Amino acid sequence: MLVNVKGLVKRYDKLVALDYLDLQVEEGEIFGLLGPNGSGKTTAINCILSLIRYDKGSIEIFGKPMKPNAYDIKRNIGIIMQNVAVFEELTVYENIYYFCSLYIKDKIEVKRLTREAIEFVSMEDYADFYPKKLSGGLLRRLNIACGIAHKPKLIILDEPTVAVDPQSRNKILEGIKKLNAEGATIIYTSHYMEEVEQICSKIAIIDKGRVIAQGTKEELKAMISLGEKITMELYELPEKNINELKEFPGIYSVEYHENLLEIKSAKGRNNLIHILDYMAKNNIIFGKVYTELPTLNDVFLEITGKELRD
Amino acid sequence: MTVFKNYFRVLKKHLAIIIIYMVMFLGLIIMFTWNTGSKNDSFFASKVKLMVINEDTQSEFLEAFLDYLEQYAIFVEREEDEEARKNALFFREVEYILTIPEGFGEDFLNQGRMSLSKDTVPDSANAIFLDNAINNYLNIARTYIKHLPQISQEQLIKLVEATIGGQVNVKIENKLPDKISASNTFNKLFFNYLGYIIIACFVNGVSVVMFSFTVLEIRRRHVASPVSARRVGMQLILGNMAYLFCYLIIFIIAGYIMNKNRMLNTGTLLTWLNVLVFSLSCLSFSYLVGITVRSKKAIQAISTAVSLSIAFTSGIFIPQEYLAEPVLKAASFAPGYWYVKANNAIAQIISYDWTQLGKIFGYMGIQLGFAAAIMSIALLAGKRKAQKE
Ligand SMILES: Nc1ncnc2c1ncn2[C@@H]1O[C@H](COP(=O)(O)OP(=O)(O)O)[C@@H](O)[C@H]1O
Ligand SMILES: [Mg+2]
Repeated sequence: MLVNVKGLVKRYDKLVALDYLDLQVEEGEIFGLLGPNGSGKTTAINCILSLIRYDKGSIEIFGKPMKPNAYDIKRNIGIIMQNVAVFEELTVYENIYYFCSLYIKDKIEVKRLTREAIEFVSMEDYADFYPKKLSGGLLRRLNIACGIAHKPKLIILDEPTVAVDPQSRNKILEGIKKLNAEGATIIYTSHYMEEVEQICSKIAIIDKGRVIAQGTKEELKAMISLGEKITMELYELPEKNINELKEFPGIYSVEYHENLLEIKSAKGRNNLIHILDYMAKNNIIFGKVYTELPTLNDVFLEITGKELRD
Repeated sequence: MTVFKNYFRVLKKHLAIIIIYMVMFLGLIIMFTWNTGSKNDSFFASKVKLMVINEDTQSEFLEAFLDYLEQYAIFVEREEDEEARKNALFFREVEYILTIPEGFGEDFLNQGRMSLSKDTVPDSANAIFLDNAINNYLNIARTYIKHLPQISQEQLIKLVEATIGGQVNVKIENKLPDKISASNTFNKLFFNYLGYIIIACFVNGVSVVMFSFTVLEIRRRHVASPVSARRVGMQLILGNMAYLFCYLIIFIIAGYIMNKNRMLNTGTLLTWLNVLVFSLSCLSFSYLVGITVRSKKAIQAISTAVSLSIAFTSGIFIPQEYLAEPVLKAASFAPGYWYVKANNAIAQIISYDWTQLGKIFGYMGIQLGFAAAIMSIALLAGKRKAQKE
């Protein structure tokens, strides 16, 4: 196990930010920490990195206890914090060079790694730019380059795609996958379920400082009863039909508003066929029909009773 | 030394404003010295308006000394009231008030101690001229006393007068103390003004760099790195020190070169020591600002506000003699006041005995006290902030 967090508790006065949090990250994983804003993701990362004190619990990284003076462990970690952390006074190149040289002594090696990192985030054309001149997406990419230039074994990214244009976002996500393919273990926090679903091999869903579910995305989806979500465009649907639909086996929720009929069904086959049959028999005319498999949002919704998104 | 080197890389970006201050300062100094330079030509012609407050018992030596001064000064009637004396100085009815304390003659004849004190119109070339005359007379007398301890007053007076009158090349001999005074006067002007520039440049340099290094996000990167917090801190302090020394060396050399009468005497060295001591308190103040103020704009505003208010209240822009008592009282709660006081005392020093030096070192000590106090506050603030997170 690369990272082992057990029973982590962190309080801010009366507010319990982390409530006996447990996390296990295996080597080679892209571990996603998914939770809404304020659920404690950043606090958890700060504790894992010994950036802040915590009240209870234990943290092991690379099999050794993590402490503020555990410099051997720190040497092999790369951090990308939620807020961009670069010197305004230094250029893109100088920033990456400096942060890399905190980890690596040999100057020539630092230079080589700096160039590699610039290439990695595709910022060759911006090497001499000062951060003030960079767009939000480029700034995020610089922030990432500063955290990974020294080729760490464990990379922790805290919401690296917040306020980033879609193009930069895709670059970042692909980059993370590439880092992982090159051998780095990744811890990735986000409140965007799509991102986590897209890149993470293992996911912990966190709410109010507590892990409420953990596993691969398939495992997580298997945990809930929802199997399929069917949506139909309908111009009119009497109350009677809605009630009849609700009586169907396997269907546990039918909602109709703003010309959209939304049916949630449990796992099982042919749910859609039964519904289409029913529509045909009752001469109900409908427009587009689409079905969706459950998302992590549905997982979150079913466990906590609220939406993941704000 | 990664962090140390980065200190200067960050500083480089803020150099423009520091250089503007430096150029502005050197321009000011050139302007001022050009002004005083033209005054110099006339001062030999006029006699100094001198008021003597003699508390000592009359003696032959004292009489001869005052007779001698008559060559250089016009005696103004003595005012008994302190306030009246101050007014007389202010309106230039008198340029130089010489106080001869009780027991002066005795002390001087027996131990060679010079306990005269004076009050002068600020920056008066005439006053310096008289200083030199007084110094010249007393120094010669002292030399005789030292080597001929049994000498009588009568003999002493004769010898001194013979020496002064019989100087083979009066001009050259007399020029030397003039040169010292001129050098001291330049140093006083130069370093007093430098005080203002140091505050402005330190806040704009040290504070801004410390700010950049202690912004939460950057600090976290350092804490997460394998470089220990202590080493980061030490290298930053080293960076601050290196900045301070580079800065001072540039100005000490500039001041030395620009001083037409430059000389490496005790006064010059004391001035350098004084500016070093003052810089330390500016450094700790800048450090405090850098780690507590949370915006670069605010830091720049503080730099302007603090440097200007100290310059106006501590005697940099307006001589201390002209400032009202409450202003000076307020100013004495900042090291700038004591820095200027020390500079002024150094420039006016008549002899390097312990009463004079003690006073000057006292002023420097107060500045060191300020430096230590501000530094303690800064360290405490830093610690408390770290605990909060
Ligand atoms: N320094 C702090 N002081 C007080 N409360 C804090 C502090 N930092 C975070 N919190 C609180 O802790 C909770 C978790 O915050 P955070 O870890 O930032 O969540 P996330 O990163 O998941 O958005 C929030 O309720 C937040 O308000
Ligand atoms: Mg966060």
